[in-house]
Amino acid sequence: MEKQQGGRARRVAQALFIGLAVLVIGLPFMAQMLGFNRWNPGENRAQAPVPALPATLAELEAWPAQLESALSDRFGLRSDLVGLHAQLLFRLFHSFAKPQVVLGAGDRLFYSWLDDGRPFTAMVRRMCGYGVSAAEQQGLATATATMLRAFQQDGLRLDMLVVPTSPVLYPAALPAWLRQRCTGTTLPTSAVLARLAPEERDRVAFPLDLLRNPALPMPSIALERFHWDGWAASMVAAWWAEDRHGLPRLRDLPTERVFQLSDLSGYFLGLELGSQVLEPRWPVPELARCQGVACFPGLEDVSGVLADVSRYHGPRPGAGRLLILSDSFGAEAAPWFARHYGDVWHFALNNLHELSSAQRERFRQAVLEAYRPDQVLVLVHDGNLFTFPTWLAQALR
Amino acid sequence: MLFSSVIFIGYFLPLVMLLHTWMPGRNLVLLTASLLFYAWSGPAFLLILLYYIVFNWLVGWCLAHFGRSRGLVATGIVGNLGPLLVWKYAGFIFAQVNALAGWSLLPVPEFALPLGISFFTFQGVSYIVDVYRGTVAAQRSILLFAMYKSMFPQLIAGPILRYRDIAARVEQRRTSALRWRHGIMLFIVGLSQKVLIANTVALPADQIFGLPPGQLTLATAWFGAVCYMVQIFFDFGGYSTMAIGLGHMLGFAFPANFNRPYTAQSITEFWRRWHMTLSSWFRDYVYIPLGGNRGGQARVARNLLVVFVLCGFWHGAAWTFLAWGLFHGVLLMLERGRLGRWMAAAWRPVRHLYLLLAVLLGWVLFRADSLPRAGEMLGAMLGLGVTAEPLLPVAAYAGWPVLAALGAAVACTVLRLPRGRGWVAGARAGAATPGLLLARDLASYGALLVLLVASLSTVASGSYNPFIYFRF
Repeated sequence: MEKQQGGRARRVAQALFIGLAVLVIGLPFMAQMLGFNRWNPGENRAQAPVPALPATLAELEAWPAQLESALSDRFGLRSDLVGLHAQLLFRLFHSFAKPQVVLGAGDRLFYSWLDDGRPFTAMVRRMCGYGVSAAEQQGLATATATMLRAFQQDGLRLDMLVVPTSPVLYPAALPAWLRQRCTGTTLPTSAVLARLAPEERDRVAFPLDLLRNPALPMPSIALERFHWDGWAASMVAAWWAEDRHGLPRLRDLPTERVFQLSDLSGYFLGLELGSQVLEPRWPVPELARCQGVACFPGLEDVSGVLADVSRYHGPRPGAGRLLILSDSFGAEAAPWFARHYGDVWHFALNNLHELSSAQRERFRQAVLEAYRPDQVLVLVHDGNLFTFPTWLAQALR
Repeated sequence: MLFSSVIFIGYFLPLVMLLHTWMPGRNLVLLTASLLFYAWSGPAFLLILLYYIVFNWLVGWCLAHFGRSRGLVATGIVGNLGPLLVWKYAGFIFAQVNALAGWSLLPVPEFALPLGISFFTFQGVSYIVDVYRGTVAAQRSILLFAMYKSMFPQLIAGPILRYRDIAARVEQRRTSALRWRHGIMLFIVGLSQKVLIANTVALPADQIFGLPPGQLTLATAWFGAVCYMVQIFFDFGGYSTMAIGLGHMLGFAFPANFNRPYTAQSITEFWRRWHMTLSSWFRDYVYIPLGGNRGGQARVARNLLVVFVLCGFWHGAAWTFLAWGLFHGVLLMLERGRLGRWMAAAWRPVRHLYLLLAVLLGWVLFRADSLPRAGEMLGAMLGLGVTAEPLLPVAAYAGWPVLAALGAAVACTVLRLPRGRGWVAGARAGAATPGLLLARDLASYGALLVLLVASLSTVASGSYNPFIYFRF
């Protein structure tokens, strides 16, 4: 190796470079030793446990991978580095580390879960209906009709409310390559509605025109969100209960606007994207609210698995009982239905498949037979029309 | 353990460098660290590595003590290739026999492939043959031999390090600030190539190669192939560069493995620039012993085909790799004949375009899961069997980060980065003033530190796996 030419300044610069590079590489380790490795609860998963020293050959085989997972969750400055990466991608490319989120025009975020590991096919097909054949549309209609009839056999009235999502409400804001796929298509929900018998069609609500009405004072779904907030949910709840079912309003809910980080922020930890959302201002006189496991005594194990459950109780003479079975769009909507019902039970069923058959049976008995709701409302976003009716008919019948 | 993982960069590397630099007995430190590094991928595989160490050392020792015996060399080669045949090829061979027989004549074994076995097998063969040829003296100490054989920077993905390349440094080596600087620079360059370029374009490449039949368009197929072409070079080249950088930090000078292969003007030149330690291995231990360029055209063609069939199979036990090797072998043969003469007279950009196209088509064979799948991709690239209405257009795969990575790849390929001695020592300093040299150094250091931080944040981001779906 040759000697470096150029004198003392270059040697100092070289030493500085080596020192800085070593420092940068060693910093996470040092930070961990000093305790700078906070865990971000936004990841919604348990931190990988630190494995005990292996005692058997089988444990020894598995040990390196376990320790690697544990250290990958604990190295120093982890959240800061992840945040820095999110910042770099967003500032440089208006992009995100996870492929499920894309930025559209006017800074609107669009989300699509991975379908067979591929991003955006779920949005294009399930929300926008691109590439969905007539046979598939008929299959969806049949599944929806089967679900509606299944509950009818038990003497329960079941209606369905399908919430249109951002790509359907704001196709013009989609990136050009997605816009091509989400314009001029037959929406799956519209296709289903067209194929249902009239009495069944009346029981499926799709508030597309209501939510994309250009005269609305603000967007139905905030720019930074996948889910609706109280503003759109309250409007749709009133429309569904009062305009479609003629129910009287029993009470009003006082409201407030609060800043909330985006519900997608788990995909870009470190970017503080958020918006003002409308929420009921609690406590509300004569309306009790309960959220979480403790709300349904005797069903704690079930509620623990389903996680997203809530209950509203505000008895009034003649007020009915509502059961909301939903995906993740139900939680925001449930309190607004309490304006029209004396009791509202809400269960998000995204984790339904994790219930054992015994738990599922107890759940069915508790919510359908013991609670005996006057009305069951299946509330899902348009992308879940492909799965929910089939699941629900199978799981609760 | 991968170089671009949290466990390596965040824990293993700082600890090993610290101990190697400051502890006495640094060969023992390096050996222990290397064995731990290998055991990380599966502690049971360590036994296989230990077998290779002991076996090759013993054969070398016997050659040194009992004279150069062809029988010993043959034993050494069989003892090296045997485990490779069993672990890597037995399943494939048995499956082909069953397919020919039309029924399950032989039970098809499903062995987990020990990491890096193809590399350290070839390393073992080169050691034994070199000792036999007298190119290098056998290493007397089994500990030093074990250190060479298992040295973690080159263990699982090369460069294929021949003992003679580093024999002088095994016992005596010196690390200097200059060497450290060079090592760190190369490590950062390699890490950036792997993490910022290769990993970014890997996503669309994987998605496109994984598309169900009937979802390919002409543009999507080309884009997927180009992404893979970039991915494989910057992934493997980046990894090799990191290995060479780590070698410098440990006091070794590993041979270069890549020399801007996509700037070649022919397949013949490509193989002088691509995976150079593998191509020189095949040249020295297969091609030349077969006769090399001697004999008639038919003999040379046979030698080339044998080498490239073996080269294809070395990369994996599948027909796609064989097809890839044959494809390159045939092109090399043709370049020795009329095609070569025609190419020599052609305009330089035409020659370059030919090389890029040929290599690109080869990579499709290499990457596809099966020959029919490769056929679909190649057909789609010719406009055959494509759909007019894919679920996602090509733009879906070509986000800004991917386009930026492709742009960076082109820049890295086209621009002649300062390399080797010129970079290390500012050898052309005579042409520049001290101030200019200092400014150039500072600019390089600054850019590299930015790349290091960006790469680390990307590696960290890979460890971030939110479970969000249940919410939706």
